[in-house]
Amino acid sequence: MRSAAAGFSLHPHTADIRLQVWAPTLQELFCAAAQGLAEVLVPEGCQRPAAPLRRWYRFTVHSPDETALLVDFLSMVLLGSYLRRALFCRVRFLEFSPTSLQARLMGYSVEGFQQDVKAVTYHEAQIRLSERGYEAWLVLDV
Amino acid sequence: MVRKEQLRRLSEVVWEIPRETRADMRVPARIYATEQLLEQILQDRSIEQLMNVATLPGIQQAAIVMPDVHEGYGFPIGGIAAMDLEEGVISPGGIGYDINCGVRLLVSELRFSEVEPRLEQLAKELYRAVPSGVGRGGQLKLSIRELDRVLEYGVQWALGEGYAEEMDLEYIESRGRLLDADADAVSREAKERGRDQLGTMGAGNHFVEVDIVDKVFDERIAEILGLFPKQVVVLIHTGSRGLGHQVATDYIRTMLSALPRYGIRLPDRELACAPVNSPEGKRYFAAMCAAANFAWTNRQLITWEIRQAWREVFGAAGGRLRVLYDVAHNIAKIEQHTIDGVSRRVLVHRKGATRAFPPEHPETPAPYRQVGQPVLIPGSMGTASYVLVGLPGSMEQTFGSTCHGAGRRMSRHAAKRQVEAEALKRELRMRGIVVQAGSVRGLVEEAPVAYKDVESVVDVVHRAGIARKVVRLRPIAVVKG
Repeated sequence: MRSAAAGFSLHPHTADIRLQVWAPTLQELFCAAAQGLAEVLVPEGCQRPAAPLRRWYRFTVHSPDETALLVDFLSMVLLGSYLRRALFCRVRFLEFSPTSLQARLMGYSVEGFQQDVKAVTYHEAQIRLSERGYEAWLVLDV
Repeated sequence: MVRKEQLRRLSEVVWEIPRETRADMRVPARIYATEQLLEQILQDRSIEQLMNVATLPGIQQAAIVMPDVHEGYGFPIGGIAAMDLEEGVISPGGIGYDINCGVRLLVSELRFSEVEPRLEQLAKELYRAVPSGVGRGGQLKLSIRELDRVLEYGVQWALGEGYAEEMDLEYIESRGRLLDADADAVSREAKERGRDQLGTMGAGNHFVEVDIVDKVFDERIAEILGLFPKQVVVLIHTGSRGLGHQVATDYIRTMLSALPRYGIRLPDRELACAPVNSPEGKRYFAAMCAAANFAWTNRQLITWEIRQAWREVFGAAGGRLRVLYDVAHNIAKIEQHTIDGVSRRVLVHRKGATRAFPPEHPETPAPYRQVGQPVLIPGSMGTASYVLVGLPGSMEQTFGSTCHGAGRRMSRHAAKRQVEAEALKRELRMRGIVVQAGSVRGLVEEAPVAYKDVESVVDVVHRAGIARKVVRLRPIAVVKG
């Protein structure tokens, strides 16, 4: 789902969590962000899934630009996690453009989450080009 | 970063960044803080965020922050902004994701000596009775139709269902129901997230805490509020749970798309807003009111659960648990305020700020009208909390508002690095505090060291004449997710 050149890291913020993501392509950037969110919800839950990935969630998003699309996409991943009570570890894009996408998430049921992520915010969110390809910082409200 | 030299000192505890400091500011930015607190505040970007708020269309008089301010997203936490109803905007970011996060205080008829022998049992019973933890549902799973009634009727719904006593309503801000709520303005997704969350605490900094009245600052007002030394009370801190979070997410997205239509340019997308009287603004306000009603009903259901637990532990000898008051600290409300000598209706955004109406205000419950609206300021876990009352200064200076808590000063990550769970539990136990927590991680993240000193925060609002200290509460049991 994403190349070795894609990744994420978590950073502290006074009251929240900052998620840094990078990837050679936009689609991989979005996948890395979904994995970063999963890591916040259940640490190592996607490295060592507790069950086969049989839960799924499919959605479509339209946004004004690619940064808003990334935030809105992650908001939908978060919503799906809470509604399905599942940790989503894989993303497949059925459609993808800089302002809209259709995604299918695959994951597994969980008893609960370790961190209450209230929302994915637009605060200072910006997709930029860097030597790693695409890069973005996001603030998760916890 | 803003430097101290850029600030003008207006009084011992009030500082101002003049409007001229930045070309896009429409009003000055004001900070309530001692010099020492100000030094802490200037270490993050909360004041830059306050200056951004000062650029919003229709903002009146000043963008204001309380001494518990800290950096948020878009608006700083601890902020107040009043908007003109014709020219101004409404911003979900000025209210926060946890719509009507707030505090309720229940007062018992028992003294500490009567509760102490059963304190461990009480803490366990409260932990069992009030579901907590991330995304955890409660005992009720409402149909969407029933949930719509909660969203529109708030605590009135709970009264009809037997979860409230008639008298409770009198002691809840807005009687636990905002009349502008419209359940149809709340998305299906938000309703799905909320339908099993009534009567649940959640996680993070939310808690149920048993306290004792530890110090009385004003005996006359304490007596009128029904507070006495060594009295045992129960403090509830929670909000609108996933339903409120989803309402905010939905409407920030809606408003971002609508910005070009209204020609609004923002320094930060998280300030996304729409004119108060636009279709988007009106619809968000109706949804926010509905989420606020949900939050008040949530605290009411928790009250019902706590009353059950109390009876379980103390039986008839436990007496009654009366609602002293319930206040929202993440909300926007249309209120009457005097601006430049003219009485006008404005939309007051409070994000991490508490309403503090003075004596004789018509919205203060009749039994408290001579002393002012009670203000409940929870401290960090294991530290003191305060009961204050609003003063006339709040109407003159801060649109009838005051602070909301201790205010975070350290990231959760830093708290985890610095605090060892067992040592923290030991320390709390040595101070006579029983802890029932679902998660060690949650406990450590909320360690007192991660917060500002609540006493110095409360002293600022007391000295500024916007709220008066009445009593200090000391925790004896903490229950959290």
